[in-house]
Amino acid sequence: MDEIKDKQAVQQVIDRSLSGIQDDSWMAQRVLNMAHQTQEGGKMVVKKKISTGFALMMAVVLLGATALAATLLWQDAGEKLAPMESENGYYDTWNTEAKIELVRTLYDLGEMKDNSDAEKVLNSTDMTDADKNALCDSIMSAYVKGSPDTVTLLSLLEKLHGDMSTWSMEDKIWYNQLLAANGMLTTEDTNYVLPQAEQITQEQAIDAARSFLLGMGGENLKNAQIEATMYEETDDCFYGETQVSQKGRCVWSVIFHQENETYQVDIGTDSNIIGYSLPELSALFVRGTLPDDTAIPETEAMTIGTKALSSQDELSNVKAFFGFIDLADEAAAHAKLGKRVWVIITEQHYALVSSAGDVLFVGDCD
Amino acid sequence: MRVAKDPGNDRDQVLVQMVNQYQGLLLRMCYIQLHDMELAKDAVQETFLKAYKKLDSFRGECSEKNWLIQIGMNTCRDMQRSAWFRHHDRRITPEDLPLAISPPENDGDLDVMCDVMQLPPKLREVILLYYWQNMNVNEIAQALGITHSTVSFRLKSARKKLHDVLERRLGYGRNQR
Repeated sequence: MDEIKDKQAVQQVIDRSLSGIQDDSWMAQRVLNMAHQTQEGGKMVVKKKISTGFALMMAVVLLGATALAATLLWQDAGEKLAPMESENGYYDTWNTEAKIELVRTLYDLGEMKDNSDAEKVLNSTDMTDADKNALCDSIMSAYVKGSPDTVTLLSLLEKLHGDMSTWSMEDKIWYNQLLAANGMLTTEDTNYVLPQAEQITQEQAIDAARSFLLGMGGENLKNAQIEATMYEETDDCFYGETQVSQKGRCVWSVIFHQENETYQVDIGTDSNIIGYSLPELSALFVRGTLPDDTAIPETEAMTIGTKALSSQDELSNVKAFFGFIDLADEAAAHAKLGKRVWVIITEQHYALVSSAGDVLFVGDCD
Repeated sequence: MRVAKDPGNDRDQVLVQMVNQYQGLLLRMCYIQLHDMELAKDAVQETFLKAYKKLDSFRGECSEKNWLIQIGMNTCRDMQRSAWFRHHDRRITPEDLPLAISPPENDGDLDVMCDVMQLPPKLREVILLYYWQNMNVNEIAQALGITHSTVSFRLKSARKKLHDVLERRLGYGRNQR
């Protein structure tokens, strides 16, 4: 094989085939806006020194009123903005009149107080339609700290109420209802629900998830940011031999974000574990689940797997997980979507062992 | 060009220069990895954001380009692991590719492109870096955070598959253009 010619061929094919990919002219500005926003979030601005006791007292008094006002503000905004997106599509395709209406809505909500550009676009009688359109884009881009194509109902609500991952269950359900009421709820949107009286609570789901992960030899995740939501599955979905969703089933999804790692446990409403995700399994595109009756026992899988790995590794810290392939590589017999496997894993290598006990694959963990 | 360690540049200016210089490369790389232009733009934006935050810790042990490629590859891997990504069909056909500005000289070009994009992710990564970006084994090992021997092993597998693709689609090797 002539490596130099292969290189030239690949370079020419990629450069020619993808010559239509255009740079995004807003990229640098958007990244800078996001970076500065993050930095501002980390700073503490102190205008005036007051005593801790006074501050605490004021906080207690103001907390209720502020929370109520904030709730009304962002949900009011949502009620006004959703029909606009429903009727006109995404912001960047709107006509000038609709864009001005959006600026007016936010201005009336007090979000653009003292914004001279907003006042200009709302009150001017001598600007052209094109100038007003461009000024609206500039105002909205600055508001969401992005480009016009990032102005959406969700980005505006997140601007008003924080990142969606930090919303309460009730907030997410309200958002779903808002989408449904405006004909924008799709089958890809998660159908958030609240637990019924006989179902486990959010706190119980988090405890169950934490205990399960500890039992799997994981960390206690005490400093993790937790996102726990219940949703109802909307269809029956199968990956080959594995059913991954069941229409009408309610599931608690408990996600722990710790440093750069994500751990997830899906729990049924009676505390049964449906599935889980650990960084070491995700890296192998395997989703954890509990072994069924047709799978060989863990001890047997461990024996088969360690034997397969013995030529590769010193075999320290060997762990066994059961799961299914959730990112197919159809060219590889061991990686068919939904295939149920035991994963026998060390720090360096892993072996995939089928439910019946056949060694399917031995590879490195990189 | 090395911009990240230039003390005369402030951080914002460095970022703008990096975006101007490497956005095109990263967009193509992320598109090949993710098969979706909108996801690729998200990945590139995330890559530059991470780079901006890590500018102070960039020690210049590799070139700035390789550093950005490393961040970009890791960002794509993270996105490939997300539930949303995994639940969508990522197969790609020549019709799905962005319309080329330079028309392919050979009908097989787009087929080769699709075949490369359909290769297993680990092989695709080394092909992109070795054949397209001309990186050596050490640089690839650094960019992907894997050992030198793992890169060599993957290159061995990738080399054979790639040559088969070129031969099948372009008649390459038998009837070179």
